[in-house]
Amino acid sequence: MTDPYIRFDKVSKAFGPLTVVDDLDLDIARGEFVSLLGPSGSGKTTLLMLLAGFEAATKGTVWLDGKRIDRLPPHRRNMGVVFQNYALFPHMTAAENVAFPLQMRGLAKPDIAGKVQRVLDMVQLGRLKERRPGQLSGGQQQRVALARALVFEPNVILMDEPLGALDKQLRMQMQLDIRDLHRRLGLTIVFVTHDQSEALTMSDRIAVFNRGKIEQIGSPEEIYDRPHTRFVADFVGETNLVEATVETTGGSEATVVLSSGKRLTTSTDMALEPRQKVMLSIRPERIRLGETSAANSFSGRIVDCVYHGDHLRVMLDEAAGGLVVKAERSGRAWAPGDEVAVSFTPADCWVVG
Amino acid sequence: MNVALRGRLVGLALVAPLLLFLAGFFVWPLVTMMQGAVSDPIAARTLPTTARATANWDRQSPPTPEMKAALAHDLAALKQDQVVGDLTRRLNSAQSGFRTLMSRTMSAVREQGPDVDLSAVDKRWNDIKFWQPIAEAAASRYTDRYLLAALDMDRDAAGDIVTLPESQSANKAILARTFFVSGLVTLFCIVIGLPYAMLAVSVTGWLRGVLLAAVLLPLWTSLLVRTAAWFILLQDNGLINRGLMALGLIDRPLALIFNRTGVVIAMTHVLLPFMVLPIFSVLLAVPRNLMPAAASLGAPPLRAFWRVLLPLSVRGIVSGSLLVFMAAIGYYITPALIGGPTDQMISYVIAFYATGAANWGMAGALGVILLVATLLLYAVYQRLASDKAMGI
Repeated sequence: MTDPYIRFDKVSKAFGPLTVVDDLDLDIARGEFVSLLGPSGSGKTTLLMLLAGFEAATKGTVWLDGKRIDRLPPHRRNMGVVFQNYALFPHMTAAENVAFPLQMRGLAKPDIAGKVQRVLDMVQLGRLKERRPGQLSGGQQQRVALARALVFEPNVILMDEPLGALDKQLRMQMQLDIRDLHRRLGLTIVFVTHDQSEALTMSDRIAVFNRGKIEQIGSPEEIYDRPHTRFVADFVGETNLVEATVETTGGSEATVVLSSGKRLTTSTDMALEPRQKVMLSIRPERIRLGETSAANSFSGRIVDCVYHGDHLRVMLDEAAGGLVVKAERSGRAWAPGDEVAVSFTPADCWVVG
Repeated sequence: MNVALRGRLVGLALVAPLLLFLAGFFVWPLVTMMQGAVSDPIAARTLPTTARATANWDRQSPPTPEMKAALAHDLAALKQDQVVGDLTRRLNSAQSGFRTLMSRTMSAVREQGPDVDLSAVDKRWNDIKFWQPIAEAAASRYTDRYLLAALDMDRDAAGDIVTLPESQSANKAILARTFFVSGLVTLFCIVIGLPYAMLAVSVTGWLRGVLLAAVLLPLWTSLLVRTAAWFILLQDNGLINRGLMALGLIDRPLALIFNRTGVVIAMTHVLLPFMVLPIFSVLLAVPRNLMPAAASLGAPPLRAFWRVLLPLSVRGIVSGSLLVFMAAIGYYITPALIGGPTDQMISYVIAFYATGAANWGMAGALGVILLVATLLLYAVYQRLASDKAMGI
């Protein structure tokens, strides 16, 4: 990235003895949708608060469009923040809430009315503008909060788990709506979430947080298919983690031996040494049952088989590495005790270090 | 049906102690007080014949012999000194001179019987000035003279309501002073209490505990003790004056006691909890992220406070003000101990009439005026505090 729009430069934040953000670097380009993904307490929300100006960094600097902003008070940063519980003003109507940032910027009344109407129409709330937040549903409040953050055309939109309080269906709808807004308006969005599927759905890039540091940053495909660490592989999606020892290496592939003596061909982007202990990540949905492929193929016995509606979850015995397999229901019917062929491609057997 | 009836009876039995308590210690005294403010039965009870004889008198022409005979007849029927005393006091309060007139007339009536000629006993019985109050008092068991007097008004000879000259009474001035001092105390309570409540909400843990305890502890101490403490602190030789002089800020003691300053200081301190606690509980319910939200939307701290936090505190400020103001209106001990003669509030006057002058009519009338004024203010508050101001 040549010209980052937002730059965190060696930023640390400590609350007393507790370091929440630890010497962190992060660049975000203009128009990018970046998700900060991590478990609670990993520092992702704190980083957002540092960007919004609600917290001051203990060390390091924050830059926006080439200007240093970490000393600027929040009301002069021109960032639209959508809070976890929306933080709508309960004593104002939806329209008054949305008009608030425009009034703070001293716009003329007719201009304000026009802009408010346009942005409320955009989030399909034009008819409910005279209602107070207490009279709106969770999803509608969410839209008002979004409209309020968009209406003054801020430099950046910051969202702190904005969809956490919505039910699943509404959440998925809002994910698509926000993604659509991002593309249509060319917004720069920093989105904090602990929901990996949300991050995978919406983001251009995902930064996976763990203990105040970014474990890995990359596109959703990179994060999901080529995780760099065990933590990322485990946190983003579901995976089988298997210990192995490197036997031979060659380019992006390596041959490893499991403790059971099985030999597997794996993919990697790390420089591996023979006899090095590594961890393999094999996604459950990439494992094929009842097929034999050239590379990684062995047989195992089914221990348990759980019905999940759209798929079957098949647990294999220790001889097959105790793998969990997400099997399609359209395939054969499996039953506990069945002897079955297990296989996956080298590309789906990824070394995570 | 039986079950429902029994349920209702059990419910009634449960609230019965409350109802009895309310009736005995709230409703009944209130009714008695209001009745006392308008009842004036003594003359009508003791002078029935006179009442009939003066019923058609125009109150301007000289008293007729029938009126005098009727009065002599009524007076002769009075056997108890207590009743005579009550009647005399009632008549004397309307027209001075009745005390000597009545004692002379009573002894004449008791010596010579009911047929005595009143004009011969005392020339004053020919003066309509002394007949007007008798006719007035005997005509009805109820009167508006106490209520009028409570507002510095009276009826003239023709029965029209007139305002008394300022030298004669000061009830209206004292009532105005009561509302002024109470308003001032309420204002100071808001000025101190609002930031205090905001501070208490913004901190957590033991610090909040300490802040709340600092407000609550005085509340658990007797009002008399707190007022006495201020009495000591505010003296010329008190801690405050000595401290300020030791710091070299003043050369001679500030006048803090026996004046309005002292009363307002002490009352503000005593009533502050009633302002802090409602605001605190209202602010506690305000989401923490509203102020950051306002800041992120471009509001500098003061404007964010003005547009967001203050409107959301209004409900607490209103109920706190109501509590403080209503309590302040009835304050008695603090102004009595710390104030000077010109700082006494309406309760002091009521206490004077009730316990000092034994004039229950005046005490009741002032009480009624105070009650009505309070209810009016409450109604105004209710109107102001309706949906529009607090539609949350």
